[in-house]
Amino acid sequence: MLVKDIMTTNVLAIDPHTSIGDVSALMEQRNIRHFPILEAQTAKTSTNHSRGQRSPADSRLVGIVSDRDIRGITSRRDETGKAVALDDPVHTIMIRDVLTAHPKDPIEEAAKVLREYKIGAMPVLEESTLVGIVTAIDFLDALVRMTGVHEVGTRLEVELPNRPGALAGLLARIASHNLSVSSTMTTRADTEHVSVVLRANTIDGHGLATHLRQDGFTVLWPLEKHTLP
Amino acid sequence: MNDVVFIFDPELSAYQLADSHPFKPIRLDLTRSLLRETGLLTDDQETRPDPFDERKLSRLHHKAYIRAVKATSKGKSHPDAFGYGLGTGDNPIFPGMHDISTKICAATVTAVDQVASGKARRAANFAGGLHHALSNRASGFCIYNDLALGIDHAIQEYGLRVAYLDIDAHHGDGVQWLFYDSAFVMTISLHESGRYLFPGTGHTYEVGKGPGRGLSVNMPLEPFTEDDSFEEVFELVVPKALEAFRPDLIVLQAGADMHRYDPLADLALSLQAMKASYQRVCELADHLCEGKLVVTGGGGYDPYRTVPRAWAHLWACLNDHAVPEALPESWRQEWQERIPEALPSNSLDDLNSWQAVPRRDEIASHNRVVAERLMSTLVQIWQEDRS
Repeated sequence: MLVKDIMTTNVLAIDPHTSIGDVSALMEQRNIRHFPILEAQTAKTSTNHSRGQRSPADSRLVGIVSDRDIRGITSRRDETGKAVALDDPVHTIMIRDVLTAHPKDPIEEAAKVLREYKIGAMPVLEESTLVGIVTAIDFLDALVRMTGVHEVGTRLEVELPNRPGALAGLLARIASHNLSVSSTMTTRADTEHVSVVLRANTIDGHGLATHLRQDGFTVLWPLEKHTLP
Repeated sequence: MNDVVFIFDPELSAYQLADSHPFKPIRLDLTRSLLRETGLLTDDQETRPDPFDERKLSRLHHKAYIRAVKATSKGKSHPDAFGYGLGTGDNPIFPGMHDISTKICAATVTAVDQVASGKARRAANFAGGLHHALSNRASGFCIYNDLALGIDHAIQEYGLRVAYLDIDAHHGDGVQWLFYDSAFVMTISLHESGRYLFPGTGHTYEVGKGPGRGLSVNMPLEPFTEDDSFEEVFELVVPKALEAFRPDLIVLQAGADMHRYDPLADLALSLQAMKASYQRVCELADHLCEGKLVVTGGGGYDPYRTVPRAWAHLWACLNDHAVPEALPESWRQEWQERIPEALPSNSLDDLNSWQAVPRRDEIASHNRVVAERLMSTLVQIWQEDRS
């Protein structure tokens, strides 16, 4: 999965001279938390889009602004209780050294950057053209999709020895029951073990788990079906 | 006119997906036999399924899917069979699969028609209840969704508003998704939480959408839920939901796999609680929609001990009778040789021999909190709609 597979392509970008008040209103209207800020590359490019919205072509990314940056400003009041600085242009508060992603970045790499720099979104650039934006929510959606939780099935968790072929062996056993698997996720539990969460397309999760236990697999989920006394 | 009809056709027992498959149609024969031996079911109550125009299947199922079911039923290979969920471990292809699955739909549609038309007050099709079948996919032992076709029949032919109540241990996903945005159907499902059990859906936040918003009601239960907790959340959720919707007809999917002995699910109900819930559904139908009630079978993978007794209780409730405490010796004699385990002699469970489930209070308290939260969400949606 690459950034291009999860990013939002229909990006709303704004002009650096848009007022902070207008940006704040746009965020609320469109339910958007991050705006890339694009500056016209040539003097000819007009800025007559309504409320400073700007199209990515012929423009250069100069900054990004988040709802947090805006809130910091709009919550400032003067002594009469009036919000201040709403008329100031957004370039006065935007973040200028923008971290960006490339559409062909693997998602795990892009996600790592978000976490390391504690940011919520990255504009996606191809050459210097803005082609999308990727936010923490997109990564969360990708994770949800990867778990296969949208697929009809039963969740299974198995602990495997950390050695070549262990996962292949597990999947082969499941396949031998003519069952498919819509998702597998593996994590290193410790140096000796790998834990696998998978979604098998069966209604009889207990039946499958019992077969796997008989084959010597350590099935952590579903828990063993105890016959109640 | 028969007040209560029992849809019967010997072919309905041919839904045998594979030898040693957990879905065992012998439970139908055991149930019917038990009812006849106890005198609860009489000849004149048995009704054959009406002729069924199989083109109606495509009202809810994709034509390409139906073609795949038909082709594979005849032993032909189909390139997309696996994608349609056919030929998997759960849904193996078997000869005649299309015909028998269609027959089950015919039976449920007939049951609905009997009640909707006023020919009968209540009707049962224990072969029906294949609630996992999706529009384009076989799933969880279900090929065609007889319930959804029956509900659709009630809407199209009679203009009824239908409440679908599903007390199978598994979420009634197929029916829910087919009517997720419909204003004419409320689906209510009580099931073991999707976190632990197939199909994985049935969260409280699945409330329907568009015109159907607020009309999908999902009550996920903790594993090892017992009688008292089940009855408590049933009362918290079901009557209020039905009263808010005001149905013209109730369709009950009465899967019997929430019983303690069921090998596929982890709920821990007794026949006592199951019987009580059947009685309650009959009362609610009487109270809300002139008794109009259609019931089907569903899951139930303890096919000898549990399912026949559960459905005998359900049938008895429909007839305002009760199953005698001691089951007829003649019934056991007729079947015992063919059954790998001892058939029960009592119609109810011996609760004194059951040990309490550990964490009983914790489970009950969790269920209660979920039910209360669910209802506060739904009540809010219902009120928005009214204002």
